[in-house]
Amino acid sequence: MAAPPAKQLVVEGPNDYHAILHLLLKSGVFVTGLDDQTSPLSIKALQGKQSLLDDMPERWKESGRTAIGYVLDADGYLQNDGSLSGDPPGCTPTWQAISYRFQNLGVVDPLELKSDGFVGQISSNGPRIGVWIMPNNQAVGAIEEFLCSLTSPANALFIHARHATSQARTKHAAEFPEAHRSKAELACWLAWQEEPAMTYGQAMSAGKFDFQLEPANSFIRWIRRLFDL
Amino acid sequence: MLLHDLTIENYRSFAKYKLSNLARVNLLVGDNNCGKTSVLEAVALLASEGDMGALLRTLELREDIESIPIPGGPAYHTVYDGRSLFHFGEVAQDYDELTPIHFFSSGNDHRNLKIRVQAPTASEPAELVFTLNGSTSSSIRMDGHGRLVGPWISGMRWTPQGQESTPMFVFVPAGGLTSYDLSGLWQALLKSSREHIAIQVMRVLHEGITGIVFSPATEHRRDVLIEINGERDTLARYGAGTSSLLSIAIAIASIRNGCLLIDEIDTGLHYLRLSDMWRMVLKTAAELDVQVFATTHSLDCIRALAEAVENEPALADEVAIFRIDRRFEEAVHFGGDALSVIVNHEIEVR
Repeated sequence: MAAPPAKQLVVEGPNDYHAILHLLLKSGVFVTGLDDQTSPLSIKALQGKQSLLDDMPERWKESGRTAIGYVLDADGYLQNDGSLSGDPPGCTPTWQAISYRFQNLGVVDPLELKSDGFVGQISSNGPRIGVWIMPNNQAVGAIEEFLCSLTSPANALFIHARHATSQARTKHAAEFPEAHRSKAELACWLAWQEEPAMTYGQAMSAGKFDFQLEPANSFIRWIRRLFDL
Repeated sequence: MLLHDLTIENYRSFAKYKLSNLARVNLLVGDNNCGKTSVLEAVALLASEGDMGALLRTLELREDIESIPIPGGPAYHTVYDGRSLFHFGEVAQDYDELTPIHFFSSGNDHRNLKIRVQAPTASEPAELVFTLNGSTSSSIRMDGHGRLVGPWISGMRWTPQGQESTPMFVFVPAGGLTSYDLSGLWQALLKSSREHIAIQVMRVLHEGITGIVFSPATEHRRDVLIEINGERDTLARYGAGTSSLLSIAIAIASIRNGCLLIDEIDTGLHYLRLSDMWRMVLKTAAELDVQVFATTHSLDCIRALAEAVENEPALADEVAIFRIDRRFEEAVHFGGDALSVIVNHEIEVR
């Protein structure tokens, strides 16, 4: 059995896990062929935003930990009526919930979230701890908005998927909640690839997203800064 | 006595080490040779209120003892290595290089125990001196090799367990107490009509247990009888888990307002029994006002503790896990309220 990884990134679920893993591979942060032991960074998928908030006071204490990062969505939980609620929807309330926890952990850096993500340190000799709130540490949204921002403005198929999604709602009473419009658009576009209904990870791996666009660069810079990679 | 925190200075491998936010039941985890047993010893010494017997007991459990033949006879002295107690004690060249050991706790029931070496004078030999809350509580002679010598009878080993009716602490080594020690504690339980508490704990393994019988002058497991559904059989015929649990059961029932130290609490116990074991330990410790410090390497043992707390959430405040790591000045604390997150998120506390 292996010791806990020194550097760990914690994400909300398997979709986030695979999308981010392949983004790191594409960007050269990871090289292919590494396993859990040789990878410079371990990624752990939990189950939703609340599980990450619950995780924050404890996981950094694992033996040998030097840096830990959390990637959360700025959206909230979807309620039966289609609105978002529960643990904090929106970037600012999400950050407030996090900074309250960080204050209790003794994070020494000013608890301010900037557009390039948060990187701080727990006490003077504790591990580094970082946060990225999807999509861009400012807007309301989730990893879907981040992924949508990695499609080229000239991508005709994606533009059509957007249009079709709107039409589906206005003309055919499609029931997807407005808050999940980007998710619906993305699903629509991925449904039309050579392998229909690609996952985010498969699409990233297949080069469907442009990892050289600024939103991806900004995220990768945060990863490199936090984990010293 | 309920320690809220504990600071250890210059004791064995610790220069300075602190455990904060101690709970009623504390589970110590960490790598081999990280100092878990040293923490148990520190608690025992503090709980004993500076009793020299407690110190000798800890040295005996480590078997850090030596038999020195007495010239001209078959008898021998048992001596204990006193230098090894001190941080860097093995390399000390002189008495004044043995920096005093210091254990203390704050809070309502604060205690302060210092162990220092009084250098020899022309007329007096060197002594190891215990000072509790500012006054000398006991002392023992030390020879030129740093060995603790006398005043006990030649060849006799110091075994204080069971000599008091309600000991202030019981130290259960990995694998359990000796049958001799158990017998002493059992006699005390009988005198105070508390043997039913130990039997209750034993029901974790043997639901139908109705009685335990120690033969006079018990020395071996075969001298201990376990009665299950009216049938008696010797402890020697049961597995290691029964012996281990019997130690825990008798020890916890013996103590009042003191500390129970258990090295490797899960020894010999099947993982499905561990949750019940914790439930009984938590319940009994609260009833008898006993503070428990136990060690483990086992993930099953940690999961079982989480399960016991999950079934009875009010117990969350009664439990804490500490990872001992000498590279830092303070033990890493995991509160009882975090146990479900730790288990569900597969957070490695060890």
